[in-house]
Amino acid sequence: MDTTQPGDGSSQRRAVETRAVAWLAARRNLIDPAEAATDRVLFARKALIETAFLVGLRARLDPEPLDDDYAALLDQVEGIAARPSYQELIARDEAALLLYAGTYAALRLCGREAPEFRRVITQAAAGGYAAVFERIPYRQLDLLHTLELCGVQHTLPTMDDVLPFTLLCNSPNVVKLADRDIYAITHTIFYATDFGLREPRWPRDFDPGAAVELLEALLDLTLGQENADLVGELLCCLLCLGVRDSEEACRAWEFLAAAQEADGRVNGPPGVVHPGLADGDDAYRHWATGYHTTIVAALAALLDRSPRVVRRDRQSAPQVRSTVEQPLRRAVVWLADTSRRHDPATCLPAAAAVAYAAEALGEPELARPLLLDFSERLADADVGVWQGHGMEVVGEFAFGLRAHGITCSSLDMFLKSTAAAVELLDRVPPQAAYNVQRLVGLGLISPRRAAALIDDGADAPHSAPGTAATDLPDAWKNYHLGHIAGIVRDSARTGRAQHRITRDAVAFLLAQQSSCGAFGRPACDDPTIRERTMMSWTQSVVTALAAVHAACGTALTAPLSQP
Amino acid sequence: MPSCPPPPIDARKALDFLRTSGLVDLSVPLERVVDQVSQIDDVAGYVLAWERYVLVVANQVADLDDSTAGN
Repeated sequence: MDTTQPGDGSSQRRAVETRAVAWLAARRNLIDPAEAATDRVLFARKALIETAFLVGLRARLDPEPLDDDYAALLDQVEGIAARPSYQELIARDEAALLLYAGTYAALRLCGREAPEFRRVITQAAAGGYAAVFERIPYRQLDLLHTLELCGVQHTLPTMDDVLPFTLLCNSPNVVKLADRDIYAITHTIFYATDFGLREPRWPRDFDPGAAVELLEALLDLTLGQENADLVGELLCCLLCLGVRDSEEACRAWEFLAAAQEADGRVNGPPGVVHPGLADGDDAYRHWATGYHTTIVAALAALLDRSPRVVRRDRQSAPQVRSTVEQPLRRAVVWLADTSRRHDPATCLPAAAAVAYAAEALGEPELARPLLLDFSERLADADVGVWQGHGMEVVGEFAFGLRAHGITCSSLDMFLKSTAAAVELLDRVPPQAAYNVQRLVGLGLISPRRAAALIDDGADAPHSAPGTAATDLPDAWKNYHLGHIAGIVRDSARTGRAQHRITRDAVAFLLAQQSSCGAFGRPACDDPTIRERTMMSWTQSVVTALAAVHAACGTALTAPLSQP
Repeated sequence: MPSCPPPPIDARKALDFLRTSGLVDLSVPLERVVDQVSQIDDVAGYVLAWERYVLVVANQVADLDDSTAGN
């Protein structure tokens, strides 16, 4: 699909839906549990209900008669649901009520009433188990929504009662959300909004603007992971909330259109199907790994074109500022004090981080004792000490010394020699551009010479923030504070300090500070290992928070409070 | 005390120096912590999660556990 051609893209999105439904219709025999091998029956039942729901929503969201492929799917669903071997299973498998009731709900939406099917669902729902065993909140919403569509009366708490317990309504940190959590969020929105047909009664402290921001942040992450299934579901959610003017949604459409194969299939993410399920059957695997994502893509296009789905002006997220100043100051003090007890040649990066952060805080005096101490102890340092740490560390250390008028003879000679060598280079690679600017800042090479050295494409010395941010959930899961700090630092430097993803990553980092000021919880008892680990983490986090603080500007953060 | 001038830096070393960043420590300083954390969530592919919460797979898993226990 060419999304660059003129127009609003609606015809192209319609084409995504048409192709997706055609692909599903051509494989409709695979959703028949009676035709499935024993170990695939459950999977077929799941695909059946999801396919049925797509058709039911099509009938509901578009007043026009079903076209041939939708009609073929509906006939298949109706034929399966008409069998006693399918509908009477509800009475035998009450725990799986939703697996069957959804099929009836879809038929009802299509005007295909099935009285006996309805009777068995009603009896099960009133039987003191199927509708009342304890479910997690979004599954409770699923139950309520399904019963509503089935027209089955009940005395259960309402959706309004359940919503306050959902993940969506409790300000989740986007960095910490696993795929299953994101599905909990998307499905909460599907049920609460009745797939875009109603405005939920959100909890009093729920901010719809913040929810849109959350969805867009998750789209950012899942687009980076190329997870078409979650991208499709999140796109559906924005549409269910009436949001049409979303940059992330546009990117999602471009991604889905590009991901759709020529025959209409949209491939799902790895891990969708249990390895043993396909068991060498490539045709089955091809269907099983794509049918859900293909349904989601069709649903997104259906929601996009439906005249019945709500549309409303975009609500802005509340302005939330990262206030990192106090934690940063405490960490700088701890890192400076602790570093002085260690070998300066080893702890030079920590000293550089202290100098950099103290400068960002506008309190260079925080670094002065450490810089004085290290400059004396490193006065005769071997050239390898400076060479090994690299220009980022050495440069910030040198800036710190300069701010206090401190000299370090071995460092000065090393930098002069290095600048002389750099002068002789023709070009430097992009990743070195930022450090060339540090040489300029120290007056060691001229701005003109630096410009000549830096390639045209080298004005973005850091990795693309969108790509890097994609790594955050894994970094969080593995407690890789250094990696998280690196991503936060790069995001701040590229203008994304106040982006939801960066803010949530910062919030996580701030929550790792102990009372001494250090960052990170080593979860080990050896004092030496604890200190070494906390120094590493604190050095990294201090660097990241200093970048955030500098990006936000002192006017946006809390006023200084002198110790 | 003035030191002897260091040996001249060659181009390769200068480039290495310019390319090296170290303010953020990307090494994993405590791998053991990671290894200790529960990996329960590793089974949460979306199909498994969906089924689990409909309590279908949960029943199957319970059945499997029973048969395993029987063995």
